[in-house]
Amino acid sequence: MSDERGNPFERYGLDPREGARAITERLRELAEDATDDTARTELRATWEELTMHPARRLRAALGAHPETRPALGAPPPRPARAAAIDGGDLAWRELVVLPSVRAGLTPRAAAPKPRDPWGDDRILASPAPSAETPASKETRTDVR
Amino acid sequence: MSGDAASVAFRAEDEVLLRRLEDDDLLARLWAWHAAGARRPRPHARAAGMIALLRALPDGEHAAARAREGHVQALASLLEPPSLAGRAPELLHHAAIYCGEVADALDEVKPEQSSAARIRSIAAWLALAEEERYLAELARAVVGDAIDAAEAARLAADAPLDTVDALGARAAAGARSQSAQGRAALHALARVGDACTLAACGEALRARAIRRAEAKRAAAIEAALTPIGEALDEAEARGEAQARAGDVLGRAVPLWHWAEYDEAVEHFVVDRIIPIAWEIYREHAWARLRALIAPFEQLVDSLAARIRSDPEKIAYAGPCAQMLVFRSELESTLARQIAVGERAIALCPTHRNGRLVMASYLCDSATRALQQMPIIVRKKDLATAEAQIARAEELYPSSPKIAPAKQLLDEARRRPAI
Repeated sequence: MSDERGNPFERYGLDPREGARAITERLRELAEDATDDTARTELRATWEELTMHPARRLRAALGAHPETRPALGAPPPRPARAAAIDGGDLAWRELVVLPSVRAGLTPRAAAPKPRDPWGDDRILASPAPSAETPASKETRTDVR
Repeated sequence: MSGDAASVAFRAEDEVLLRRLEDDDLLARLWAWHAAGARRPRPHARAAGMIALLRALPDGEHAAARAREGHVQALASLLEPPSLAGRAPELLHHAAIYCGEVADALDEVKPEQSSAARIRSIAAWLALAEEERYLAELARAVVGDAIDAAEAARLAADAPLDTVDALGARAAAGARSQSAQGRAALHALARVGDACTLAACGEALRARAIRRAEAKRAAAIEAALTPIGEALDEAEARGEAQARAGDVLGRAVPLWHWAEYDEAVEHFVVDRIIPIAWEIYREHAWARLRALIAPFEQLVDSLAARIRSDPEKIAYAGPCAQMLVFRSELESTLARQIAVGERAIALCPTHRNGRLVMASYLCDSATRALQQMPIIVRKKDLATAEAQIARAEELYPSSPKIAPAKQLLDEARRRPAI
């Protein structure tokens, strides 16, 4: 029910119960993502095997482990900070760029300053940076 | 993090994800335990669904906990119940594929364990076939309207027997080279009846499965015998049958061992050797006859035992008796000739040559005894000679040795007896 390359339903993450149309969709996606002709040829051969010969499709389906694992649920909700931004309830702390993050955003040419977590932070130590500063741009990108 | 925060953070979905990851880990452990030493990659991640189903069995969670501690035996035992009756079809489907994967993995490194796993796999398939509903629903879902429902149902019902066909192909592929893998497949085919028992399947399915397995087994052995038969045909065509029969037919002996002493090999040897043995017999070339048939004594004895224990195997009673008659002719003492001749007669009471040679042996025995009593006869020995001649007359009345023996008997009766 499977060849030496393994069962096609398992190899390409196909659900045999979804029928020929779903198989075609999935294999088309994989063919679009394929980087070489060999992979595309193999995908086409699998598509023909599974969609044009229902008996062979059934045989292959019988040879595939059924999907009996419990379905994965939704991923965890976004962290509270992100929720606050989405909700518009943005506290000033949410805009703070932590020194460790900022160090990573600083151009490499700039020499690191002596370690002084609070005194070193421009936001805490000086007026808020303008919207044009690189730090603020990166911060907005980061929280989007 | 506070307790409340933790309960909010670790949700039911996270519990599901954790269990899936744990099951995946258990699957890896189970595979390492079953397929130790094999190079085949572990089964697809979907096979971890089998672990979840095993955990749901009585003692399943305990077995899983033990497996996490490194003791996988209990978890593996859940895949090997004494009967598959009542098992969930989804678990049977997983087990059928998983055990087949174990069998494939062990095929080269541990053929006997591979055969045992194969039987488990076939048993799970047969249990699914017996259950019917799961396979029928799966077939409907997979093929939809592409083929009609009756055909889909037929394909689904036949699918479990496809595994028997695949096993037959494996046995046939290994037959010519008499490989360990082929032998394991042949062994598994012979044990399909055990798989039926394990699957608790009904008589109809059992009969179908065993019939299919026997046919595949016979075909595999036929594939192994074919080159021997062809070589013998060629030797006969060249007029070299007598000279080459020993070497050519001798290849059937290791094949017989490889095929676990299969009866078909015994039939083949007996069928092919007798005509050649007759040619040599007619030339009174006893040394060559002995050289030809001696390597097959164990094989012929095995066939004789089968025939004695099963009256339905009467078709080969005559040929097997003839092989014993040849052997009796080559025995070195009259007593041993009579013993082997008796076996031939017991195997096939109507065997003409058997009766002929046995009558001859009995007359020889009586004649020898009577000739040893020229003046006074011992009553006991006289009675024995009388009985032997009477039996010889019963077995083969026209034996040329009866009349001289009877004449000696009459003369002995006129002598004083003690």
